[in-house]
Amino acid sequence: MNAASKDHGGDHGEIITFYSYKGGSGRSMALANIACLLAGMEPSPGRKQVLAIDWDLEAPGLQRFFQPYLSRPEAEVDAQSGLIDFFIELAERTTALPSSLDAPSDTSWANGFDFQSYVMPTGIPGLDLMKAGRFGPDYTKNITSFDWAGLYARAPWLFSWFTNALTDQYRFVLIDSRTGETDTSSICTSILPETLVAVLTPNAQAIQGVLRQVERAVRFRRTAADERPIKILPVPSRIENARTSLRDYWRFDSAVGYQPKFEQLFRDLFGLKSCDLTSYFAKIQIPQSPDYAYGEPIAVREEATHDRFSLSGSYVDLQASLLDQSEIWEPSSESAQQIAERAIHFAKREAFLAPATPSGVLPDAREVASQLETALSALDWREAAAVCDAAIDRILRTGALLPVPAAEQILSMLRRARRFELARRLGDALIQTGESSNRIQRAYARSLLESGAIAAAIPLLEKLLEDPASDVEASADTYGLLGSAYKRMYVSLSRAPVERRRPYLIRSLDNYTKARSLSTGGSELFGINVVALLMRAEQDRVAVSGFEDPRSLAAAILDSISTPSRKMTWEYPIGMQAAIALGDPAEAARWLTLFLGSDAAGNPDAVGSLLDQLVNIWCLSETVAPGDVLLPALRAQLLKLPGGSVNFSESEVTSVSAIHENAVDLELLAQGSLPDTLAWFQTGTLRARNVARIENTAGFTIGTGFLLSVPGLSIDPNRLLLTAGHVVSAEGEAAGSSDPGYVTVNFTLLKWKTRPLRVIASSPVDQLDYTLLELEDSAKGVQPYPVSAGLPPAESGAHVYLAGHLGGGELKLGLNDNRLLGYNDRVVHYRSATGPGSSGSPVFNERWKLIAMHHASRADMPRLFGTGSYAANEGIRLKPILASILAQVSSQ
Amino acid sequence: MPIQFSCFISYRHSSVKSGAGYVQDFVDGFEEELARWVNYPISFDQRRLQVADFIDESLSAKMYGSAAMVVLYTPNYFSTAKPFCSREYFGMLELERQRVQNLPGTYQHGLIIPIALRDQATMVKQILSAEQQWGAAKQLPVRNRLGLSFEQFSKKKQLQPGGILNTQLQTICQVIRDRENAFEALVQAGRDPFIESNKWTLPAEQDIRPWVNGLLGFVTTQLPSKAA
Repeated sequence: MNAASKDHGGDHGEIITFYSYKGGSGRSMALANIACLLAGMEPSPGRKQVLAIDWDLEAPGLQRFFQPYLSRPEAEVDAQSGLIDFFIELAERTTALPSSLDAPSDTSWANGFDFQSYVMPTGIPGLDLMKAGRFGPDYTKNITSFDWAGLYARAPWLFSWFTNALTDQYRFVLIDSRTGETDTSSICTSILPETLVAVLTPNAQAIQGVLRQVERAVRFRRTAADERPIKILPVPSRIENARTSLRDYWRFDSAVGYQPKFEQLFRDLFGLKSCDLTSYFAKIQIPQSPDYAYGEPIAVREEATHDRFSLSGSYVDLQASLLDQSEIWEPSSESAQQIAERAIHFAKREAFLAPATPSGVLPDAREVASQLETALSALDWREAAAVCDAAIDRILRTGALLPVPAAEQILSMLRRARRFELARRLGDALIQTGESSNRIQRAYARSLLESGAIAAAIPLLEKLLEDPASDVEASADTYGLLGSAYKRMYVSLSRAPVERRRPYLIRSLDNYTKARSLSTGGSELFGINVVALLMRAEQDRVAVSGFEDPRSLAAAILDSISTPSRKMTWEYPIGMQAAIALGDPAEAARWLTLFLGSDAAGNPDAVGSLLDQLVNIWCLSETVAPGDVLLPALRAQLLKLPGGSVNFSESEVTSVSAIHENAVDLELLAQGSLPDTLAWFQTGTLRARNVARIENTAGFTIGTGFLLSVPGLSIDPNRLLLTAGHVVSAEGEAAGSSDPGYVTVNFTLLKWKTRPLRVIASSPVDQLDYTLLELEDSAKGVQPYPVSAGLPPAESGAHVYLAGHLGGGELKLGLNDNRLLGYNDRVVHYRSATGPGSSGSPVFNERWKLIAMHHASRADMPRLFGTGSYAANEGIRLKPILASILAQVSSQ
Repeated sequence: MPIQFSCFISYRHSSVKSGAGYVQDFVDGFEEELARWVNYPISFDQRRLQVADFIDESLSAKMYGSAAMVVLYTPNYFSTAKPFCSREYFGMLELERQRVQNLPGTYQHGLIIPIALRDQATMVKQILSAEQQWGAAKQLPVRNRLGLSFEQFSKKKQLQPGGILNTQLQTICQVIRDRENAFEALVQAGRDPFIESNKWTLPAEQDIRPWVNGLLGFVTTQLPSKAA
């Protein structure tokens, strides 16, 4: 074997992209070393050996590694054109062509295009370089004004043309990608390479960023008009060998370690049952070496030997993995030693120092805000995190301060969407770069509190109180935040002895009282917190003295905000709490109605904070007034809001918030009183978890099925799937259905797929039309359906509900217009908008008890009684199905 | 003329030249496995691997003589600019319409087996959309197509016995064998469905236009960084 490129895909070169999420990871250095090693391999005829491309346009510097080997003066090297100039010419030459997915048949646009004029030799035999571009007065303008996304949208085929041009001319093309998650980094990582070298330094941000980019690249390539598979090589870099425990922590820790994270990602992406990267990561790690901390020396050319523990030795190992045909989770087909022996050892050269690398560009706050708004309004938390991470990366790399209003706006958007952790990280980056404005520091402290970092928030807030620039309202706000911090500490220590908790309660009360006395506009907000805490202290039997009577204070607050001239949206929650303190549920419900009718009810943070306060401070419960009205109403409201999520006390229904976060389209169509709607909605959500989409091996949805508990059958009910006989049957194609061996059972809400093991019982299409399958694995986190013994009278106008896969799309609960039309002992008729794709769906009564399995929808369904036909759906009742199953099993 | 090929492979090269070797590997692995199941060879035109667009009309006779057609799908399969694969697809739909009705049983998976080398989701959407329109015009129900996704294909050895994709490949081989056997039985019974090969040609470009226009709406031109 000579090279990967020889074994697959015939005679062509291979593109290898080096990516890291953040700068300073040793990515370019790894690329320079690998480039030298590959250039030193035995040349292949008819093709140049290695081209290194500097695509880190905002911080170019790859040429510095090769400067010592160049015979040309630096000024001349600077003037050499490169990648951006290449693409500018490409864009100009193709600008008049009509936009198209396919390359034009007429290739005259490329006539006279001289690829090699954008490339320079490096002085190292076999190694050419394409610089980022010509470094002159226009460089910054060129790279900032170039529209990569526009070019791709207009002529996606140009990138294939570029790929072909590179691999026609070179055996190895190494691309130094820019960092972060941007248009150019996605071109480098997703569109161009056959191998993606993902360089990561051991810290959470770098690891997460690299994982996201790898996942995006693999997913993109599965859908691209490009059959080349993409090989992923994660490369931990700057590993400090002296710190064994830290090194192991970042590699193996189940929460943060890169090895389990990559193993999980590869299992997900490549459908592997198991994935063990222990031997891979034991070999592939680039150590931190003080000898190479300054300047840009190339280790493989500096070190005479490449032993295991040297920096150059680690690059030789990486080269071996690059050339290895095996997947990295498989045993290697060639030993590192064999490949190392092929690598040429270079003569030692003196190290040298080079000037500092150019700094990056300033972050554009408006662009960040607009990208973030798009992501947040689409409930795309990953994209929101990506936008923030990219901004944080730029802030930290450039040390640039954001304009205060813009920073405040971004932090407030994150808070509104309850992305507290993102707000905290962004705030942290701002403070690190020297942001000292009181407003941003308070916003940061608030994000610390809301993301649970209370101990970190308190000293920051205390320091802010000493800020001479702080005005009265700012101080009131700071005291209020301190009150909130101590309040949270008091609550979180609810099981600790009173002596330990009491000081926090006192401090919280003191701070809220100070805030109240200072504030001119918002004293009621701080006052109501004093009331809430004093009432809580009473309930907890924690004695406090020296404060007003909470009920008198509540009455005074209610009085002051009830003045007709001043009714502000933010006062509604205050009124609600004052009414709770005064033991007046009707008054509390009145404030609730006002609140739900106001703009504030559209703000997830406003609804969420109020819920937190009612649950955690007031200790309201859904079973007792006034919580029985306030909590379900607010939870339902929160669920309806974009990004809203609700934490329920029962662990089995916490999935409601998870489902909402995943933006599964649960159509809440049935209307009713708010509390009932919510409870009912939760139960429906639980039911939907047991429902699976049945797909054939090509990915076509052929029907629906659901987990069925069969009383009297001694098989794990979480392995029993009922579906329609015309969807799946043992007779397969001969019975007009699919063979169980050709289907996948996809529990979309559980994010879990399995396959049928065998058919346990069945009935032909013209009888009960069902198949009961035993699945290969047992479903986790589901509850068996309760079965209803009877049905309500048909003339009662009762509703039935289906959970199924309408139109073969995502799971949708269609809950409206399922009117019960009639039934006999075998079937039930109902009318709904259910499409033909939902054969095998469970049919429930109004109390979410299972009554039937949906199997047919017809516009001319014969009526059950009398003559003629009507538009109706038909379900097979569960009772005869269960009887048939037991009869078949007992006769086997 | 009796049956000539177990299956005809309908494929259009993608835009990246260096992907061709992987497709060749796939076809080799597939052919190797299929040979264990069927009596007739596959029909695959090697020239399709090259980045050159053509259609050799003589291929229609090979398609006509095949018991089934395997679609190696990539996102530009139903290209409107180079519609030869679309012509093959609708040509086979027509052959399927004529032939399956003579077979005993439903053979509801039909004679076309779509294999997604890339972008299974778009393949499913495009095939459903194309067949729904075609079925509506011909008053035929949409078939429950059986096929596979090889989006995760990367190594030849995955297709070899014991390889992780081999089991899936066997289901396809079995389906092709079923068709081959069924057609052989028809030939034996004197009802040769392959008899008029000299009369049959692929549908012309304008004949399939109504069904393929709009299919490319499923293909995105967004950079990965812009996509959701």
